[in-house]
Amino acid sequence: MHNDPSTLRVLAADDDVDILDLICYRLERSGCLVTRALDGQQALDLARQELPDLVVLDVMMPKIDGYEVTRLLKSNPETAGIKVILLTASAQEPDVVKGFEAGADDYMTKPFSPQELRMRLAAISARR
Amino acid sequence: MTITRRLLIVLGLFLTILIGRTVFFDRSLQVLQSQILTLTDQTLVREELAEDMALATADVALATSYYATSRDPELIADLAQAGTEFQQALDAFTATATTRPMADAALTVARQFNDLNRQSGRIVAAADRRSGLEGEASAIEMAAADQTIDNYLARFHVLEDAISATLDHVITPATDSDVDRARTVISSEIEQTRLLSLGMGLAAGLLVLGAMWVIERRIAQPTRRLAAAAETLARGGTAPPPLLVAHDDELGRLTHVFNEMVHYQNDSRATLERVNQEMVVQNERLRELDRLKDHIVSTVSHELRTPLTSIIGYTELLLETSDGDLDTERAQFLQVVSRNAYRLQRMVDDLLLVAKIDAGTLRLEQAPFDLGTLLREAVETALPVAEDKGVKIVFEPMGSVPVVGDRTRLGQAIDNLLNNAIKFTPGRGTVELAGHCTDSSAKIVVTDSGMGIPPDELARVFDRFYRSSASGAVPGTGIGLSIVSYVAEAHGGSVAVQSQVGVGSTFTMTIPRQPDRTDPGQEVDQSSEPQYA
Repeated sequence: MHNDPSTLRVLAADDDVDILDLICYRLERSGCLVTRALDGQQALDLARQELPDLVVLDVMMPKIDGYEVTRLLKSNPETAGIKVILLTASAQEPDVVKGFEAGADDYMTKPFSPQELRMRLAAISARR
Repeated sequence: MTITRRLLIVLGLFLTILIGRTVFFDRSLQVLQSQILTLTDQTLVREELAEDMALATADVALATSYYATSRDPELIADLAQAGTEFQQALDAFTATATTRPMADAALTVARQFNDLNRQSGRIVAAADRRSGLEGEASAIEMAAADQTIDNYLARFHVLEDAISATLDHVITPATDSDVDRARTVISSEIEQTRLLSLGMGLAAGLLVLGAMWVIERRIAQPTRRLAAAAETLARGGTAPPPLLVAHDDELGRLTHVFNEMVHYQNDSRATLERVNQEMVVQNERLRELDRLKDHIVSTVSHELRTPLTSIIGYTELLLETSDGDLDTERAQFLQVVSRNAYRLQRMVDDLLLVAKIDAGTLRLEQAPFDLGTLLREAVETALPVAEDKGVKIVFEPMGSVPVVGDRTRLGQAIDNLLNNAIKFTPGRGTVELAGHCTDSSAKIVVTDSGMGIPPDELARVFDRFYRSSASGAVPGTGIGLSIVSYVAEAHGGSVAVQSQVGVGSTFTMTIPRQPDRTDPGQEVDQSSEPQYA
């Protein structure tokens, strides 16, 4: 691994606690500093408050969905610099296109493998 | 009355007129002929008879004159003979004298001849008396006797001349009157014939006109109306209102039947429209249900993915983090959990894909990837399942083959082909995966040593939910191969199958390495990726 992601501060958001735990576990094991959010509103609030390096957002979330959170973050100059990885249910074009249109930097399809998560993180770190 | 009967009546009348005309003409000609014959005959006969009478008169005169001088007894017989001949001619004449002047003339001649005969008798008696005086009487007496005879003879000649005059003057005018009468008869007959001929011609003409009128009104007009109505009907136009049945004839019956037909047609059309309407409604309801089904499948699949993500994620985490502190048995159990979780995930993915295909929302990604890697990954994924079943996978890695397409969907298709082959191959069998490529296309061949597919079912194995009769107890949903077929075709490729029962099957998927972009104006979606709406 060329870039050390240990300094990476990540906000992970998923309404499914088990999956959120899994993501957090993976991120922490990769050396990230992880904050958790259980819905879109909480993710938005925490992102504005903590200004992490990266937000991993599930698309399907109550209150505000992942696309909307991405759009709101990217439209605000303060939070526009935060990288966003969307977790989509499938790698289908409408979902992916919608994600990129909202301003996402990358996407992952659930269920994702640990290797995939590591690669995406490495790519984000490299672009940082 | 039927048209046939009408036409027969007209024809009958026409024939009657024709026959009547012929008969009348025939009779008329006969009359004319007989008139002319009568005219000529009577004239000839009368002339002959007049001549006979004149001759007889002359004979009487001659015989009488001679007797006065010769007193030849034979002359008396001649006189009688001439008298008889005259009487015969006169009788014949009287018989032909059909007109009054003729009859009068006949009577006159008869009286005059009677006078002549008596005068002749007087001369004969005078001649006889003079002959008795000869030699006894004096010359004066003889001279007186001669004088008496001469006087009698003079009177006799006057009578003879009167007869001639009567015959000449009375009989000839009588003949003229006959001609007049015949002329009158002939001209009236001709006039009558002309009139009748004209009348009959006029009647025939009127009859023909009438027949034409009947044909026009009773046949042509109703036929035209029927034809127009039938045409409207044939063109699928709105059914015409029932036609008026004017007469109880052939066309009338046809019109009646036609009306019934129109009525029936209207009824069935109305029924058809109603049924159609019902079907439209039902169709809409079915479509609604289908959408609902798609929605449910989609939602359920999505909902299934979340717990599956957890199961797979945590199982992997367990396997990954155990670092040898799990005993072999537990590690094996965890592998089983993982394998089945992946299997369940594939099934959910298939279901989701089908739902997307049905909803028409599936869009294929067009991104470059390495087919060689995809094949290797597919074998790696399938290996645990095959090993578990005791099936050997033969795979010769094909190196790097850059391809542009939807990696996820093609992977799904190859997974399905491999899993299908493993599923239908018994233990200790072999499944072989091979990749071949040319510059433009790539071929993925999966061969198994399984049970094979009966020839009559080969064409249907790619149909959704179709399961071979040979599949028996092998579990499956019947959508795997339909997805393979869909994905191959959506990439502008195809999938084919060859099989022999008891030997095995070979599935060959062929896809172009680049999407067909020969037409730059066209969207990829429309050219190489048919939308399955």
